[in-house]
Amino acid sequence: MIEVERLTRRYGPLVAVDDLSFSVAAGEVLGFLGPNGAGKTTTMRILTGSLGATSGSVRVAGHDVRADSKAARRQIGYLPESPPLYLQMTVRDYLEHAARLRGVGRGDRPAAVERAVDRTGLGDVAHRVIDHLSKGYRQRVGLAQALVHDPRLLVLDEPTSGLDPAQMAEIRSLIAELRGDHTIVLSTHILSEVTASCDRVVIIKDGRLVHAGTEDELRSQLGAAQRLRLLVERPGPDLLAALDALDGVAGAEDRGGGRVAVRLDRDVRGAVNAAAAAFGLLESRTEGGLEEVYLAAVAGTVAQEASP
Amino acid sequence: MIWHIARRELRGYLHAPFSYVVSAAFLFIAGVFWALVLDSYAQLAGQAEMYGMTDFGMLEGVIQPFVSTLGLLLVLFMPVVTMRVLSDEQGGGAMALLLSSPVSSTQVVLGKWLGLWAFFGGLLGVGLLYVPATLYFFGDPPLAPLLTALLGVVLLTGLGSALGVMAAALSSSQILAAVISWAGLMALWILSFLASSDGILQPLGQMIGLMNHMEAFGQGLLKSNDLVWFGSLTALFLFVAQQRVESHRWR
Repeated sequence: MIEVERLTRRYGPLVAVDDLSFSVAAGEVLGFLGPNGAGKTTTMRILTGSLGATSGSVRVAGHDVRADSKAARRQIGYLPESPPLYLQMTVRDYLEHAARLRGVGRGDRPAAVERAVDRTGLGDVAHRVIDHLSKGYRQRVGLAQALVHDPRLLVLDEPTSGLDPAQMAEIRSLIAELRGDHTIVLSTHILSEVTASCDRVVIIKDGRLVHAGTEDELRSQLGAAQRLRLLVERPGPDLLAALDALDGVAGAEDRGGGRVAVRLDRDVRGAVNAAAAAFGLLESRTEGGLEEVYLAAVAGTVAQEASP
Repeated sequence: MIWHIARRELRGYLHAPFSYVVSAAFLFIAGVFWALVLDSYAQLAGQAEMYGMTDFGMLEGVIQPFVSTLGLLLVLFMPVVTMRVLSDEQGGGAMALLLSSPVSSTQVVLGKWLGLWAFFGGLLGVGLLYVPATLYFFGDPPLAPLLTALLGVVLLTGLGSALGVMAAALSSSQILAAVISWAGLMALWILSFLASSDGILQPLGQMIGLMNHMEAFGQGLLKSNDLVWFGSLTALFLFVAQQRVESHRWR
């Protein structure tokens, strides 16, 4: 669906995106991850044809975003960091306007607007002026705007930033509903969002690709040790022995008070939990998740840069 | 698509209280000038009659002075309206919607321009309807100068709208856009005075002075060089605006 090849973007002397290549398959949900200023927004703007690249190419659904810009843009729904709203318009008028701009035919427009309103749960506020809506609703209007022409590709720039936890959960479940029908690229710096929503992750830093792959692939690539923290009712040597005996467990350690730390060679969390269940498993928590992977990935490049 | 953008733009103005406040101020001042013009015409016409002059008509007495006054008033007033033309997009981030839609920069610029122009057209059409109405009620004005005067004013608002779109595209703040528009229109207006000087810049003033090109419209004359002047300047401003929006995308 998307092929990014050797993409570079400079703002004067500043290199925002540096020789970035990756691709996204149709139907995939790609998490675009990186610290602030890593070039996420710049890359997304180039993907959507809103900004030119200094060099390199981007193809969306087979159309070059520069040479065949209109055809590429027809396939794209874009929600920038701040939703592109006309505050004086009502939700429905605004979506109608967006549908028109995005090339939805006259006859299909009312249905397209209704569908976008339904999917984003805006029915109750569709007649209201956008300026009077809360931030969470505005974000949904932004999402509805990106969806209204039923694009094959959705590009969402930090769709949950600045929302409260309940609103974040709503937007996430919305994204979950959209997966399958659309290819989705979403940027974030919230790691749990990637775990919750994404099939694959691209991590960039200083405009360069650091890692690309599924969460598990990243974990094994980076060799980040996985640890499991268990809380059991009846700890003891029997439990430790049982855990140690499991294939894939590097070691188990009693931390006292029913807490047991288990180091894993690979992902055998199911077996560990099953074994611990016999000892009254109360809680099992994974450590060394994406957060550590991410920090290791981002820190790794810092180390690489420091030693030329 | 151009029409659609223009309609949204026009609706934006009609929904903004700001437009009404500014328009009311404009119409009030225009109305005062209209009254003054009529008043001095009444006096002059009376005197002219006493001296046996009979051909002192509405053309010289009313239409010409009012058109030149209205021109200056528009020069001052238009930038206040046009400065907001791209601010919704640049301030609210809605530019991203336009840029990521399958819409060309030319369509955006022409749509914005037509929306603005239609706003001015509507304002003048509705707000200054009393001008022909009073003339026809109290007398029998010549039709041609009225029509050419109307055309001149309409062309002037088209020019001001184009300059406004260009100014907004060049600057990120409304104030700066207004200043650019004002500077541009005032410069064109002031150049008119060069035309009546006898310096070496006299032909320059003759060529590009705003009032020199408005004059003939007030006299009921349709001159091709005036039309070309308005047309080419408007096109130039729109071209610069289009280039600027396009570079916003690919810069």
